[in-house]
Amino acid sequence: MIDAISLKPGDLSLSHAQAVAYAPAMDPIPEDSALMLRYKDGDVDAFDTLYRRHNDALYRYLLRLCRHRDTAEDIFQEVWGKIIKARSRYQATAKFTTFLYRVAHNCFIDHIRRNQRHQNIADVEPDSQVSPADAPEIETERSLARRRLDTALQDLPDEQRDVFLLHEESGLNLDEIALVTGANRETTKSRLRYAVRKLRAAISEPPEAS
Amino acid sequence: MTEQRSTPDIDELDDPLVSSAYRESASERAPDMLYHSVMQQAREQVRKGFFRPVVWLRPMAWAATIGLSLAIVIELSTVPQPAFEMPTINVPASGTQVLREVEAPRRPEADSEQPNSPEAISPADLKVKPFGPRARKTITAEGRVTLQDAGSLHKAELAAPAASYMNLTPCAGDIRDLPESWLECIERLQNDGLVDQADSQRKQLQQAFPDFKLP
Repeated sequence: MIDAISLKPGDLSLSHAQAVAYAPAMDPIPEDSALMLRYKDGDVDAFDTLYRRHNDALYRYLLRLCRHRDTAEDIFQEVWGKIIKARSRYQATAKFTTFLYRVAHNCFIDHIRRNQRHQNIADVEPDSQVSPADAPEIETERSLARRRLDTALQDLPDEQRDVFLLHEESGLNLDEIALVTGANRETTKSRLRYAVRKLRAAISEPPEAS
Repeated sequence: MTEQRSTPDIDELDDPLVSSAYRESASERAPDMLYHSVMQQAREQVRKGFFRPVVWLRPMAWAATIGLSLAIVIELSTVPQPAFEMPTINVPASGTQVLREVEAPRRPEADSEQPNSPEAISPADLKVKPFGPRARKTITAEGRVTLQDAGSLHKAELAAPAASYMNLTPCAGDIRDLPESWLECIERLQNDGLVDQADSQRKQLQQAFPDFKLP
């Protein structure tokens, strides 16, 4: 696409990401890195697009990782604050999603070190949780499975839950998840396998006879 | 076991049932409050970046101002100043001096004497009001008063000798003994432009010597 309009990055002495960032309306869905580079140059709308692209997934990741809504929201703002402050130094050398979740992961680790609150208090109430008004008999097996999954997810060790949430929410592959968590690939793979196995077992549990 | 080994890593780790259950469960969205907060941070950061040069502008402006001021001071201090000469004001010494000048031809003993010599003119005779405390008054032999601190001079002080001159009684003393000498003095006054005083003296002369015929 870029070659077709003779906008070769080499010709313009720009990196590929920069060339993509400034390619006028040729790419209807600009890459995250391109958006970040545009924000680096002062384009707040580009950051708006970037935020809207990642905010919900990042929020869910932090919400289930922290298991405490207020803490998740604090860390959420901290993460975006760090992304914003890093804009002047940002270089499109890595995938933006990896950068974003690495920052989020580090913020969470810092939070654990600062405060142990998340370990004892589970404040997350999934949207799918059945309200007290609902009668148990109308709860489908599917909703029960979701509840079991949530419970099992909260019971997972932090490292396994972290890897599983990154796998589900960020769309990163194993290598990228390993990069985010700072663990090697095999460790990451092992954590994810254990997490999936436990969750599958929780979902597949036969319903308890009431 | 064998089946697990044969499948790729990601397939081994992807469980559709777990994923779909998670997807159905995890439907939270980031609150709008967070959106506004983050976007405000983003805008402020851009604004800070925009005004960052201004942050450097103020110290630069101060440095430029100080530098320019120093340059001007140095330039002014190195430029050779023209020698400032204090103005010399010729002040009529006093009425007494004038009288002595007038008397000079009538007093043979004063012929050898310089009319403006320091012996003849004392500062008291000059009746020059003292100038400001910083003023230095030098009376030359010619009867000139040189002011060395013109800045402290006052108009009244400058006018003082003239006033004292005007208040003098011309043609006084021995000069009135003879009507001829008195008349000569009066003519001098006339020639000097002191018409009023000359007229006054003329009347006095006529009263003192009624028989003397005035020209």
